[in-house]
Amino acid sequence: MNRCITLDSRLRQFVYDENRLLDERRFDEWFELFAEEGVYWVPARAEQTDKEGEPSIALEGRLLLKLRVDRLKHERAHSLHPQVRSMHVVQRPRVEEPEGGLDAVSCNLVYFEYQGGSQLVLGAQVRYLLREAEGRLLIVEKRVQLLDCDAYLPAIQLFI
Amino acid sequence: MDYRHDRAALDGLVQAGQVHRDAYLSEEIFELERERLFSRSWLYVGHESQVPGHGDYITVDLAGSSVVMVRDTDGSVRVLINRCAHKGARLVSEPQGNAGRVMRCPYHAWTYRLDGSLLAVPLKAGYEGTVFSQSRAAAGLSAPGGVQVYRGFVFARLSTDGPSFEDYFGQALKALDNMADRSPEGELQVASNCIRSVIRCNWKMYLENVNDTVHPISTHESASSTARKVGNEFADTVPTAMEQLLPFGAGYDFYSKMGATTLPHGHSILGSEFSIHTDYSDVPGYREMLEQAHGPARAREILSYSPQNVVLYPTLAVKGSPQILRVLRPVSAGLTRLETWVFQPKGAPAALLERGLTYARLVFSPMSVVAHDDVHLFESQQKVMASAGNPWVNLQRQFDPAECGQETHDFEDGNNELVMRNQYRAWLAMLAQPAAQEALA
Repeated sequence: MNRCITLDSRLRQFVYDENRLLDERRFDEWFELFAEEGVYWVPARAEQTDKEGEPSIALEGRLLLKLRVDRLKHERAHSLHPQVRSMHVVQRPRVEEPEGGLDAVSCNLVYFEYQGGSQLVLGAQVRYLLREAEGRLLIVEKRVQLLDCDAYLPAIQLFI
Repeated sequence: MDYRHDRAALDGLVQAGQVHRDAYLSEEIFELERERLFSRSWLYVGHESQVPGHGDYITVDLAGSSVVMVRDTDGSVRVLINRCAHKGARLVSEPQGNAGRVMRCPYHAWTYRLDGSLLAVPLKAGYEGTVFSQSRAAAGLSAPGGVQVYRGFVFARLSTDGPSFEDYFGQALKALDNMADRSPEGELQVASNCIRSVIRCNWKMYLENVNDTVHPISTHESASSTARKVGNEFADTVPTAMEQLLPFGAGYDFYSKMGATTLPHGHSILGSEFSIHTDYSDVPGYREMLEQAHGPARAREILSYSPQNVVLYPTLAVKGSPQILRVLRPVSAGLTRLETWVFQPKGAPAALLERGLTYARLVFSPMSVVAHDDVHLFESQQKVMASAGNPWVNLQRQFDPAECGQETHDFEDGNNELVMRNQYRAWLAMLAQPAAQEALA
């Protein structure tokens, strides 16, 4: 019983810590949270269950995530000037039933992205599938279900 | 400025090698564009595979007109104005759905057949002796002045006035043929939905950039050079993504030999000889499939034709490979909506759809690291162009006075800004003709 409670609180804490890494621009550390087979997914449609065969706003494994993270450091990443900042406001994560042997936790999120006098606000439900490796939790899937996923969206430059 | 009534001022916006900023910034110009350009051009509505069954519909905003595309009970695709003939309420509100056999207005229950004709109104007796049958309302829903289904792609011209579909697009239709013929069955299936973006810029900046071969090496340097670096770190995988991103690092020389064609009405083919899409790897078994369906010669012709972009002016950009349409839905002078639609050639390997979906995410999505730099620059143009001093946008590269007065040109060097100048000459020609008062039938 105690062990379960501990796991639940670890899962919740993972979500808070993961979001904090993004807001503190610790992108390299954030990238290392992804398992080898890890995927970051932003569906383009409500109730979308398939990653393949239909459009997504983002669907990236480690290679493309690394590209995105490394581009943020490139001196000629024009769109990042002036600086882009983000804030993730995380509602208390809910621990869900494990799925396919993976721990599942989800949260509601308000995401702010600010640049040069204008601010973007997005609401999302975020769901993590995690697995344990050598005492650490790793992301197998982070799915960001935007409330307005099918709206005409402006550029979203950092990680939701 | 009073561009509506001042022809000389309007003419002054487009000079031989430059365009005045008012073309991008003025809301008055945007109003004129709606009346004189968008309403008389052929605009992309959707693909017939979006409405496979009787009663299936989609709703679309076409240059400020709400439109419904619906599959009639006789199997034909109709395009109707989504406005009840009674009091102007929106008839259908969902982006897509099935109407059944009739469309019924939620306000007073006026009911229409799927061809737009009025079927029934409540309290019918109340109209007796009112000469209702001669009213505009009794004629049912308005329809665009023209509707054309071409290889499954549905277009409409809002005004009754304007060139016919074939005269308007001419040779540019080859791009739609090419995409459809990438299917062994000659038909396409559109993906379930599109990727939508909104950009705080004028639609013409976007469309110019579709033909801008000189920007990728500087604008997209961060994406292409990081892709190269990361590609080396992950050397054991050679995914579609790398094949699609690395060519963004191609230099000026590459584009100088790609071939380009400008056409009447602002259309263009960029990369008539080759493009960044030419060297995509073969999908196993696909070439043989096409050879069997179309014959070896035609199959080779289809697969070797992969322009960078074909512009079907003023709101459509086509990539035959990967099978993608970009549709501009201009909202105002400073706001443009973009839809990216991906197609699967029917009967071809599913890998083709995946290729298109990957490209759409990597290059056109709101989270695309390629699009970020484009959008950033378009939005900066929109913000800064009104600054004191020089009011002109320069499009003079390789300008030749002999090019004026003729719209069709074939040339080798894709870096020639003639592909953009041609858009503005067509733009001015349309804008200079006042529209008939009554735009809709």
